[in-house]
Amino acid sequence: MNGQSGFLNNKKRVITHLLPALAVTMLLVGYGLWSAIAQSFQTIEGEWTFASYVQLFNSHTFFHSLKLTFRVAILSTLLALMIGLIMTRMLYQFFKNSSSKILVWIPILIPHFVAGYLVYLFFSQSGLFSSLFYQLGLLDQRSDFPILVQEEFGIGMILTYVWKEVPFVILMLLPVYYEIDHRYGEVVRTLGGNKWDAFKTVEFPWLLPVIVETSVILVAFIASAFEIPYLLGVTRPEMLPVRAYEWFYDGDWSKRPLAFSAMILPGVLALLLAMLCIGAVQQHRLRMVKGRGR
Amino acid sequence: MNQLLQCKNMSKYYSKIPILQNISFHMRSGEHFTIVGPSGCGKTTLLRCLAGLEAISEGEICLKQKSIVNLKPEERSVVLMFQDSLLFPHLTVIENVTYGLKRRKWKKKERVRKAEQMLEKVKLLQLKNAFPHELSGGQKQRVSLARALVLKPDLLLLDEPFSSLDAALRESLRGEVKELLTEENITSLFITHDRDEAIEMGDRLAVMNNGTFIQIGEPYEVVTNPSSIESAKIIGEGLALEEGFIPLHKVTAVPMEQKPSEKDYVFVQGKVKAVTVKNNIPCYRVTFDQGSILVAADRKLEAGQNVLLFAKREDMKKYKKQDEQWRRVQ
Ligand SMILES: Nc1ncnc2c1ncn2[C@@H]1O[C@H](COP(=O)(O)OP(=O)(O)OP(=O)(O)O)[C@@H](O)[C@H]1O
Ligand SMILES: [Mg+2]
Repeated sequence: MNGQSGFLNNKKRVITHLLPALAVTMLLVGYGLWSAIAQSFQTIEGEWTFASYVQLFNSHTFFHSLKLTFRVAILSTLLALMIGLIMTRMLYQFFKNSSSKILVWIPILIPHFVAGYLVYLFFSQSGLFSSLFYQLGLLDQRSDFPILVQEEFGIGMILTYVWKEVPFVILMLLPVYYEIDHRYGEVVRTLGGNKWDAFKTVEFPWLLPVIVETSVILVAFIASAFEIPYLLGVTRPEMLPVRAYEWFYDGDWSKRPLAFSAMILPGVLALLLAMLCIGAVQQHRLRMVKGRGR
Repeated sequence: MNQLLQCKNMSKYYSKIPILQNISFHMRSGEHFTIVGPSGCGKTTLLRCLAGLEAISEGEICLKQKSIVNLKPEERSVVLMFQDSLLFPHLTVIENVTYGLKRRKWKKKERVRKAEQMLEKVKLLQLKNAFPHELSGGQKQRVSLARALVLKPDLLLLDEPFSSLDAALRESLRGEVKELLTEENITSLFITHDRDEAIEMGDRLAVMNNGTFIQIGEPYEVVTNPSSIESAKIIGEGLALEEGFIPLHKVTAVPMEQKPSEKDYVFVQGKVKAVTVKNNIPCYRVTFDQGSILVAADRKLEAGQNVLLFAKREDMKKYKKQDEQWRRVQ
């Protein structure tokens, strides 16, 4: 009884102490969000209207941008997850008793813009690789080098995001790998399964909740980031954040509502996606947490 | 010879430290073999070597006259049951039980039917759609057993499967499991450090110490006739002394003052630590410098009292020479 009321008091106290910080954050973020949503439903003169959304749905440019945005976001995320997962598997044995874990942090410290610039430096037609291949005589002309950056598919962007997010994926997955009871893998082997079965039955289910969380974070982040597409994208179709940016600064402000709605729509999409995914693995997560061990 | 398993001079080193040394034994088909030994003597390591989860450093293991030393764990018809049930938490009971059959590419209908039969035998059919977190400890261990038995392995290895359960449950499961193993005609190798469990579960019993078997024999024979003082201390039911072993029912405790006069008695000084009841007879936990023992007495003793443990000299069994013992076993 005592302990419980003590705990409640404690919880209340924590909330009271956090209240000022919480209030400021909520106010700022909340106000920003509200203002963006409000402006997307208003004309420049301040009249309430759905006009900007109607216009978006009738705009091919918007749908092209939306498609490109989610294609880049989802492809980058899948690739980063796959590479990250393979690397985690290789690294976790090695990291077990070593402080070299820190090394993985280094790429995380590099700003996205710099990462994008490096990709440009290495992979563009006038970049270091094309020059290297040209010098080695593998290419007749430097323009024979495949167009990897600033092309329509977004290869350069995907490349940047993959190498930038793989360390993030590793950092998310490593702790889970250390949690897995290695005897489960042995159970699979002694019941007649091979190493691949052990991965499917033990490691993957354990990782699944974190994989889903990580991919939601990555998709949402990539779909709304501005600097990489601005640096490595093409003019048409462009990624949504760039599109929105251009609408925002377009001459007479009349397209500002469009800019806001163009960012709010994918935001809502990403939110729905996140709720769906996380909801779908919630049951699974509970079973994993409660049912392991004895 | 209908020998199912033969281990010859098996050794295992972890970074040059010997864990198993020169272990040789065999098992007949359908036999239940128990290994008992103190913690850290290498029991788990032995099972892991047999299951193929660890490579052995020296020696030979033959299953059905074929060497299995170079086979992967999944290629050996050997299943290891761990101390914990280790059910896959995201699979239902029936999915857990069918897991091995699925790996063997059985048709779904067949494997479900087979698994349901096995669940019926462990009395858990009504829980077939439950998830592991909805089961009690004993139920989980039974599912784990069903998961292993459904595969009909040539050899089932059990590593203290009941040690995480409470005493009453352990005792009831013991009988149930032995019955089931016999009924399914499964050859089993059972590890425990519980003496009662070792005697009850096994047709034959091996006493293990420091990575080797120090005695192998029928449970009754081993318990009443330990071949060395180590063996006597681990499994012997009685007084383990340097000169020999005295079966428990020949030992009594008397108060210090009443030292019997006859010179053909063996005496050990001890102290009553606790008073208890066993098989409806008052018993005394007496500690002496070699260990402790639960004995009866002719008259009432008190906790804390200094006593003498004594027995007729003729009841003391000399330890057999180990070499002689080994020749007999192999
Ligand atoms: N992977 C390993 N590396 C190094 N030493 C090990 C390893 N596994 C076990 N050992 C050592 O081998 C010895 C035997 O261990 P094992 O687990 O086989 O004992 P056990 O008889 O099963 O004990 P318990 O009854 O406590 O389960 C121990 O001294 C242990 O420290
Ligand atoms: Mg063990």
